Amino acid sequence: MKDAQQLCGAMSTRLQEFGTLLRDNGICHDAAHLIDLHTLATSDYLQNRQSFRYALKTCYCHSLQDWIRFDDLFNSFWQSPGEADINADKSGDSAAPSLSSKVESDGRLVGFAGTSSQSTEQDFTGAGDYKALSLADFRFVFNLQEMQTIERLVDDLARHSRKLKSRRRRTTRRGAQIDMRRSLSIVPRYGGSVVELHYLQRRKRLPGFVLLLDVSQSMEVYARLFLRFSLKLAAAFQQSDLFAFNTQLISLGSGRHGLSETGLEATINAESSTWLGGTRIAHALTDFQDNHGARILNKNTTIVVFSDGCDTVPPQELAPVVKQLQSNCRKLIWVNPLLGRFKKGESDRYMDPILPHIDRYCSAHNLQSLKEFSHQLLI
Amino acid sequence: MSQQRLDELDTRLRDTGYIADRALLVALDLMQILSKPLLLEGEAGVGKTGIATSLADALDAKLIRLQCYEGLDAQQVLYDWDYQRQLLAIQMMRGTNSNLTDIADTTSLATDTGAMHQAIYSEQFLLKRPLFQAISHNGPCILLIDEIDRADEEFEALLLEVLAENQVTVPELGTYTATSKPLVILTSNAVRSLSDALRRRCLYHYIDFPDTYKERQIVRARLPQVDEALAAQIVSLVQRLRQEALSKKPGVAETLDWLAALYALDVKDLRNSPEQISHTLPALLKTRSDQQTVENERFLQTWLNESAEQVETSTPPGNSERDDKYDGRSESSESV
Repeated sequence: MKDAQQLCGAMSTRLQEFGTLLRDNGICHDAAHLIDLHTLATSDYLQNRQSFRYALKTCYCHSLQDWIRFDDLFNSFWQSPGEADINADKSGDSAAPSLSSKVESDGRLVGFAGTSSQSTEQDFTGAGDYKALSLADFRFVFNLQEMQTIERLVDDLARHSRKLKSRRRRTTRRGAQIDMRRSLSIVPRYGGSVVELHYLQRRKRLPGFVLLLDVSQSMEVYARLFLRFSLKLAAAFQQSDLFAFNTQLISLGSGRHGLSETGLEATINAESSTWLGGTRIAHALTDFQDNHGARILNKNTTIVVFSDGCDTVPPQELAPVVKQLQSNCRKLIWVNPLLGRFKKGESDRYMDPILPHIDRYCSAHNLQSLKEFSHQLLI
Repeated sequence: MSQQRLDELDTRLRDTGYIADRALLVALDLMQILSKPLLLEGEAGVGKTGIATSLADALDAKLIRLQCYEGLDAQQVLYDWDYQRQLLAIQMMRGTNSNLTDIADTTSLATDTGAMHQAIYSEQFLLKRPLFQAISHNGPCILLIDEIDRADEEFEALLLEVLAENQVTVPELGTYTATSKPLVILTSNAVRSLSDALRRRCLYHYIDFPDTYKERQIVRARLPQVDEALAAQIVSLVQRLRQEALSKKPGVAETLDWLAALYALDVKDLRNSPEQISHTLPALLKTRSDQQTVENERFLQTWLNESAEQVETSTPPGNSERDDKYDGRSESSESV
């Protein structure tokens, strides 16, 4: 009995240490977990390591990221030196769930910065200073930890954009559909007669987005974050379509189809293997207009082009294409992270000819400007 | 004890045709021990919804399903009032004072709006929606909140309150508290990110695509009439397809559909039936681009040539190891 109590005490301490390790590595560990752990410690789950692992994994993980990282952390804490890997999940021949660049990094995106191959370092630590990071140009973020923090903030930003619009209905004085709940609640006030009616009205229809992402060499520093932002935006607004281009246009899919970052990277890598030569923005936009425009574009669509405008053809050829695109959509936003490369008053030979055909021209080279851009999306 | 419980649960689930691996069994067991909701994530067609229906059968519990979509609100998930009947009751109260003793004291109804209010906002006019049904159900109950990621953030906030307190408050009637807590399973396809608050309150399990051996077990359990060799071929082909860059990778449900389609066409061997394969491919690949990808890249031809060279065996290699992995009874009992 005494031995059992000692074992429970020792195990409780070890579990708390393990919880601390998880927290240090970004997996949530709070009071609720402690209660769950106490319940587990008093159950017979401790008798079997595999079940114990599964139990802890189920309790501690709250997302796919946690799910993927947990086994390594569990092994590093509970496994004796030299002991064989007891992770049953990895012994199966099915592909383990993969997630973005953090885990799966065999494929480097063509034209992307080297973050994909570098991110195999498992450096999971806490968040940095938001203000400093929000002002830092994405070009000057070399630290993996900072990049992860920025990626998280981008996720939050995209998610926040969704909150600005909703398809929920609201009660109004006029409309097509009677709000029975509200109307009936005031019936007793008039002695049982329906005198005053309230109506339900949908909010304005959610906008659809077409996101065209330049993944050429000159955009490589920003392309991954823009891709991530686009992905989250497409997830939030399902009437959205994603495209990438360099020398050719690639359709990456629609927000309705549950896109994944890994899948998109794989698609870009697969398609771009045959790419040769420089960026052909005009060609890509024409391709989009001819093959997808009629299906996707309407007066509710916002087109967002993430590009620096560096085209292999003269800008004068790009201008009419952009003009035609603008006429077919609600709004055309051009996001150029290199917007500030020229001094005030200095001409930008790439962008100046097409500026008259763009509704909004912004930078989004750091988090703060990305935030401003995300607000402009829905105005 | 826990091993016995898991084994028993495994057996019951197998009886319903659901093959669960050990990690999922532990998650289901913990859901009952800790009385916490279980959040299931994974690709479409891997059996997230299926586990709820199978668990309900296995535990002989009532299954209440709430399918989420954008715009879902409290009136559709908690409760609503039966407005038509309320209006009728009001008109009846006003029109006549006779034969209405079951509703309220009719003598003062015409003038006393308070009494009228009380009469029409009684439990007999209350329409219980899924969450309310689960809370007020007597006996074992499984609440499946399907595709939670399709609902709005506002709905998540509403759900948090109900899941945390296991009670529903109707302002006109009072608070209803669950007599027996429902087992709650939430599923998500990661269409959008769920809030941290919701995730923190849930246990979590990610259901991945099954490996070859497990998928064969599933096929055997669901379609026992199909020839073992054909099932093995199809599982092998589907496993290969999942490694391709498809926009919608086929899940287990698609495998079963395709197998059923080929079985209905009396196909015995895939290698001899390339036409039937291409005709039934829509049962497996649900987008035109994926079908074109597979057809254009001559994927099927390559696979058929490869499989012609290999003799598919009906029993998988390393069977004993696989049994160790999926059969909890032979699991290592090494202490932590």
